[in-house]
Amino acid sequence: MTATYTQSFTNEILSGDQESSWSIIKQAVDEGKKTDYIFHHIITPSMVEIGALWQENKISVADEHLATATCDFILARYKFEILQPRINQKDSVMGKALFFCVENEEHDLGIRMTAQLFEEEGYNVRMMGANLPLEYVKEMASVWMPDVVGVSASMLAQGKKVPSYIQSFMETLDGTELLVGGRYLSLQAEEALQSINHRVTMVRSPEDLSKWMEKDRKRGEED
Amino acid sequence: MSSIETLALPAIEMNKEMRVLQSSEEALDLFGEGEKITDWIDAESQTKAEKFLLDTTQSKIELNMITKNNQTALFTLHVKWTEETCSIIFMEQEALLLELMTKINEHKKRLQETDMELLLKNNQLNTSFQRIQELSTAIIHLAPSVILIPLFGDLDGTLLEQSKVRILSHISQNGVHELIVDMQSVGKMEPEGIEQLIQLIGNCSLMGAKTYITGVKPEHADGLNRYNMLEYATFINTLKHTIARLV
Ligand code: B12
Repeated sequence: MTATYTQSFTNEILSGDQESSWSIIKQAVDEGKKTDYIFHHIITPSMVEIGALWQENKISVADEHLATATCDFILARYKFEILQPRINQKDSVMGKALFFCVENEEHDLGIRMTAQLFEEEGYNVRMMGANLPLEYVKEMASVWMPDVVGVSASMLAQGKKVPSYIQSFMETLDGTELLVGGRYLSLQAEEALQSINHRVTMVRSPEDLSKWMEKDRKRGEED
Repeated sequence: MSSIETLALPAIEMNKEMRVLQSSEEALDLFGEGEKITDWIDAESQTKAEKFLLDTTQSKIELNMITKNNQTALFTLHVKWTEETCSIIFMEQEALLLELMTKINEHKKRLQETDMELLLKNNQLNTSFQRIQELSTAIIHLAPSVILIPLFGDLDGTLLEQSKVRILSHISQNGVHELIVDMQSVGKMEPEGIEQLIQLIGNCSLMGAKTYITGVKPEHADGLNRYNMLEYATFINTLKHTIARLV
């Protein structure tokens, strides 16, 4: 089933058809699929497939752009039609969460999905978007005081900046949890992060994230 | 032989081992010295490069390249093989990419600003608008062969457009002899609207139904007169009289 969802979703976003792309997602929702499933098992693999088609010289980067724009629309619509009603029904506030991509990193679909997962979970979320220089994030964070900060890097070159972001965050905010994710992590198994401490979690898979969320929920119930 | 070296474009010539045989000055400026073309190619484009650069049937390949100042950037490589060697011209995609990227970002912002709600509401509104226009021209039976069509809203090109067919088929199916068009609730009147009304009256009369018009407001009289409306339909002062006479 996953394969067919992914296959048809890939085709529709490549042709830029917003309505039929949406109808696939809507069908999955109606069949009872959770957000986690839709993001990790339909949308993400579709984008990865698009990367593979480029590797095979079958599509160009211009096609990737069209697919991305369609995906953007789908995420915005998902938030509005599916998540918002669920969020409105909840009254639990899980804390404040801030998300962004490191400087020069434009690959932001992953972090946007992550931000939506947190919103659905009951967090108060601020999504700062792609390509955010360290000083902006620090300023924002020191004013807003988030409970958790999520940072994303896709490209290897951009991933190299992550340790300095972590370092600086740990110094600015004590008590804030830091989540690091994005494609670059799955490529560099051995991370040269001396600054890692108990407040930093490397999210290498959807399971890593649900484990962390579970922990945070328990922590919330305790105090 | 040294045609590549003098080209005013980033270009190289390489052999089947992907060794760079010659490069233009622009290519050197862009990528620096390189023994093999793969030295300039991003780690995650290596497989693609090996697969398609050596495939003599390919003429155009997009690859991510690392420039001399260590930037990853997308290039389109135009490739041409002769027996043993291959010449390659590099076209940077940055300009095109930037343009596309800006478009996408605009698109994204617009989404956040206009709000999905508005965007989807707008689609809904268009559908309801059509429905309303259909409903604005309800067909009311006063007697089996007499119908009343009260018009609501502005009599522009769209008001009757939506319901013309429905009215005519109703007339033919139900053997209607008379129809009364009530204009009491018409707002503005536009030439296209009046023309469509005349057309409707004409069609009705071809089907054997006579049209009466009632509820003409003083501000509409002039406009209707200019179109010689009296030739097409009978005008009646008040709806009450008309009904009394017909039913
Ligand atoms: C779509 C795409 C683009 C789009 C990006 C649009 C956008 N707004 O995101 C566009 C066309 C703009 C683009 C541009 C470029 N790209 Co590009 N792109 C891709 C592609 C095909 C898919 C990426 C994607 O969307 N994946 C899906 C998302 C959902 O996955 P994800 O990011 O990993 O996120 C998941 C998890 O990691 C997690 N996650 C992510 N972040 C975080 C953070 C936290 C805290 C947590 C908990 C979880 C989490 O959440 C997601 C859940 O599923 C990849 C190919 C590939 N195989 O990935 C290339 C790729 C990433 N791009 C690449 C390159 C080189 C570029 C460009 C330099 C040149 C180019 N090709 O145009 C520019 C650079 C722009 C820039 N400065 O950043 C290379 C990178 C190579 C490298 N050495 O690192 C890749 C790998 C292609 C390739 N094979 O060469 N690209």
